[in-house]
Amino acid sequence: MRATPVLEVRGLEKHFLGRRRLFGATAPALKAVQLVSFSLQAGNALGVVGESGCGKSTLAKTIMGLHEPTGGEVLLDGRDVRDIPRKEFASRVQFVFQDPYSSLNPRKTVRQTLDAPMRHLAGLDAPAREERAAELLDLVGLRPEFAGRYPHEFSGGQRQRIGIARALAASADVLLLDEPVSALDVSVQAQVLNLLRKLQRELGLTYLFIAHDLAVVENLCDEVAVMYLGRIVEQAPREVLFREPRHPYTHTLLSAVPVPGQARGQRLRLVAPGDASGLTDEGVGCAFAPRCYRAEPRCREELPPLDDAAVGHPVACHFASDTDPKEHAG
Amino acid sequence: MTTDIHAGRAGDPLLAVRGLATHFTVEGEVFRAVDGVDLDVARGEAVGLVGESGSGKTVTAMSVLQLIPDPPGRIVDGSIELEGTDLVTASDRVLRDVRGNRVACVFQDPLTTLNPVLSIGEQIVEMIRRHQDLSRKAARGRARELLEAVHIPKPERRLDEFPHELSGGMRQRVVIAMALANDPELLIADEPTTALDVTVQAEILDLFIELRERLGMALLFITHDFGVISELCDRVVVMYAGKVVEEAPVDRVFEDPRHPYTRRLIDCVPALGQGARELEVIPGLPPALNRLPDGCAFAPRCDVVEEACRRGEIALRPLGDGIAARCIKPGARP
Repeated sequence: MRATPVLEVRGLEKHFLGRRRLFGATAPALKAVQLVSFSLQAGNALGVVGESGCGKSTLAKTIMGLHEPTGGEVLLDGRDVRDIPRKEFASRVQFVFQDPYSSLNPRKTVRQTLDAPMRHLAGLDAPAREERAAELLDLVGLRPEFAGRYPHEFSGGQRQRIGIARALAASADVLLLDEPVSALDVSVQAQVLNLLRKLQRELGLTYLFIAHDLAVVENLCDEVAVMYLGRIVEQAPREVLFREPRHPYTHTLLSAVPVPGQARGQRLRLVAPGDASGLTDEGVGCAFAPRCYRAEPRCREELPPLDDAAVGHPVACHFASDTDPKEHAG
Repeated sequence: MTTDIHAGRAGDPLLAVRGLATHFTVEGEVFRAVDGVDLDVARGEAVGLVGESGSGKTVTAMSVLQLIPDPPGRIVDGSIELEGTDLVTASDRVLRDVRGNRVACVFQDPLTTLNPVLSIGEQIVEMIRRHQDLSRKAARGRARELLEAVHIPKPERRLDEFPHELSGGMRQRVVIAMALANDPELLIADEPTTALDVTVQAEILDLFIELRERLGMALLFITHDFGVISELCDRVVVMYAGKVVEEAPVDRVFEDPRHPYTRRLIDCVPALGQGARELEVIPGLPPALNRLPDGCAFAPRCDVVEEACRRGEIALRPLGDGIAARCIKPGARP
């Protein structure tokens, strides 16, 4: 028996209503997240990858309760989050944003930023907060004297460390990280990734890690879900997803990433004509079919279910066991 | 005085930057954003300029185009020669003939380059007619050809559309089409794919490669992404704190980086296929450009530093095979 997952999402849906046009009908609803399900064991990191507009950020925000879900449910330790008081939820699950500058209050010192969650969510008294603040700064690699400084006095990487410390100040053990390193310079990105790995190891944190950079996700995450136009199209443990991807979209994404030291032509480059912007998932057939090298007429008519029958991990493709680009693309 | 490692290379380069120093003065403090840069781009060559924020790569490019806002910035030393014409001392008239014509540029965010209230067609036509004596009608025909050249579907219809009606990838294609309008000899591209999704980036990189082969233009490609450099460039120039610290043919730099900063920059980036690993971080941060240390600017973060590194100017030394490094112990490992 597996333990109850710390975070579980079942059939989560988030649709945004179309804007009403001046005359006539309402624009169709945008289905940003469609029937997304996964479960996350304590201490694991699940990476969610996909291109802009695939719904990965909306997914994180919907789990966080920043968007009201259109359907489905989110469970924390097996309890429906709608039954969990807001404060209790916030003391367990916290968000780390891409841009730490816009998510920190410029008028608050680091100490003040850490104080509110320690007080209201972790329920610490004043002396305990003093001690905990010092601990938190040490934990994220900031010097104790930084406590009295304001956000503008820090570099991007240091601000992201503050953002992480704030999440931990609430005593959260589940972090939803939305592109936490994509705004950072590469040398700083490495520092923050190593910090996240260290915290996961030492504190047993659970991560839902949203990113568009596949190499970053491969570096940090135990499990990876690939999203395309609101749906998970493939989900697998890291080694499986990066070594033996099955969905043509995963193949296409991986083949598009430039690898240092590899000239073009050294490996197969798949072309997915066009991009996903402006396309919508009509729910009829596979949404990737118009760009897919493996598509057949059936793909446009019949929505492939996300199941693990064909290859042992969930893939939403009619041809999951037969998508090798060496045989089909070219 | 640094040795000119570019002397003796066959043929005159298209672009030759020598001893370029571009400083910014803010509230009495001098920031040495670019401080003694030598850089060559040969005809038809693709050079990748790599570095992190604040390394001076964008300021170098803006200096070439003479687009440094003055004040606060100023080119205080050096020369930038485009086939023998020094752009630093050139008149405005000469510069107008160079920019958008012989040297074109593409920036990261196409929305800041495009005018939101003019149609795509009007903007390209304006670009063409500034440098070529063509009728509106002929220029529009040429604009349509350009959109075709960058593989924009339905070019005739796109001409009448506005920037906001296009996706990010399509906008960047339009900007590239505008840059090509007058058959530039040199295209400067500053992080042109950084804001794009990977599949779109791959298409834009393909486009750059195709255009280079077809039109023979030279490319100065600014990026922080070694993967992009590997796909696109012949040669890499690595900058740190306003100086070139290494230059090398692209296949050599990954095999055997000579400057410790290059080695560590390559090592600290997760690359696809490496699995989970602890990244080799570079401790600390780049130095403030108004308080550069004596000697090597990377010394405080370097893992093979010794006393001599902190004294006096260290030259960019040629190491043969088109490789040069600004390090007294090139190739050293801890």
